[in-house]
Amino acid sequence: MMFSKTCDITGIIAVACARHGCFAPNSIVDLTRGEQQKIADWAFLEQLRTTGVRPEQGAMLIYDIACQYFVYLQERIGHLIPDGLEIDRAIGLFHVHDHKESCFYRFASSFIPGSGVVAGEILESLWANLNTITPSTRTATHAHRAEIIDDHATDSNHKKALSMGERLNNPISVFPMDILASGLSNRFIHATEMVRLTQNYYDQMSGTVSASLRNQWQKEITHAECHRLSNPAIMDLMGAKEANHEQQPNLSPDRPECSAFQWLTLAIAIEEKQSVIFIEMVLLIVRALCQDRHSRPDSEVDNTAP
Amino acid sequence: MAQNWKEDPNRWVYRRVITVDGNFKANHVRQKNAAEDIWLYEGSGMTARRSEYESFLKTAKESSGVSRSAIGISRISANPIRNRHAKTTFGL
Repeated sequence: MMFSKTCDITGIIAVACARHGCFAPNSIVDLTRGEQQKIADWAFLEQLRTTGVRPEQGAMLIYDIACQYFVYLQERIGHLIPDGLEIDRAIGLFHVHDHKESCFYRFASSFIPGSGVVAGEILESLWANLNTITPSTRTATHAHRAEIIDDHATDSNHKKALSMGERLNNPISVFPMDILASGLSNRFIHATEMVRLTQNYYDQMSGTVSASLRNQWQKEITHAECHRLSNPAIMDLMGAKEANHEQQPNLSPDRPECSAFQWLTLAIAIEEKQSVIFIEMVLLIVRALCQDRHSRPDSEVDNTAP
Repeated sequence: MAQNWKEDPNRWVYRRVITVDGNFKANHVRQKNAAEDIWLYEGSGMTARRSEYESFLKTAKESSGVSRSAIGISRISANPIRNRHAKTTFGL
């Protein structure tokens, strides 16, 4: 029903805080024909206005199609954005893998300094709740529909505000949703533990390369991070450079991720072969049994006779 | 918030990080005999105030932008995983 004539509204766009998952006021808007950029522009501008973002704070927008959305952002709404507000952009860690590879290095929040550990997919979990409610408003009047959505979004915000200080008994959970639901103080404990683990891991990894090489990499990365806002392509150096292996063998020796990737590919290939062999085996056994039956009708009779 | 937040060495914690996403399940069927709507608290919650929103859309620029194929996105459907699985099964 998405683009059919039966629908006058095809969906909604919403803006939520990536850290707390609260909807921003006045920025849930109706879509009439697909996901137009100007609709996202309005939601973004309203969020800046209603949540009182000061230009000195800076803002970061995480959007599924940020790589495309940001190309002409200044031309579209540059005059409406507060002066001096620096806008960073990222793609959520789930959607970024649906883009081409370079988008991962340019827009994944993992590579953006100061973005923290944020998946940027908080709205997907909010949609899960809202999707059980919105179908009942499909045939309601516009006012009724908007106010039901409004009620539930506000209720969601209210619940989050109440549970922000809560702590669960099990602070370190393997399920991200548990961490999300368990409030900020819980996430602080989790973050402290993760910093320790990450530091350990980093020390182990960096111990395998020489200090000079490490310094050089650090210098390259810092340089790229300083210029990534004006030139996103500079972040491509975070990827494994296969072509550069031949030209500069000293600069990029085998990185651990590469060998891990190769091992994974090999393991998957082996697993696929195993299933193929298993199916072949089953087919062979079935065929053999069938042949056995046809070739020995007498013995079958013998068996059934007594 | 502290008065001297601008001098904080970790300035990035004050950056507003937001997520934008579309939801195509929250659609609405056109009503034949739509009654005149009565809005109780329009625009005072999370949904947008219609007059402002509509006047923005009238004047807003829409850039043709870069095509989705150019940036490597081939699908916009909500279930791209199904297509991908079709390629990775063993042809059973």
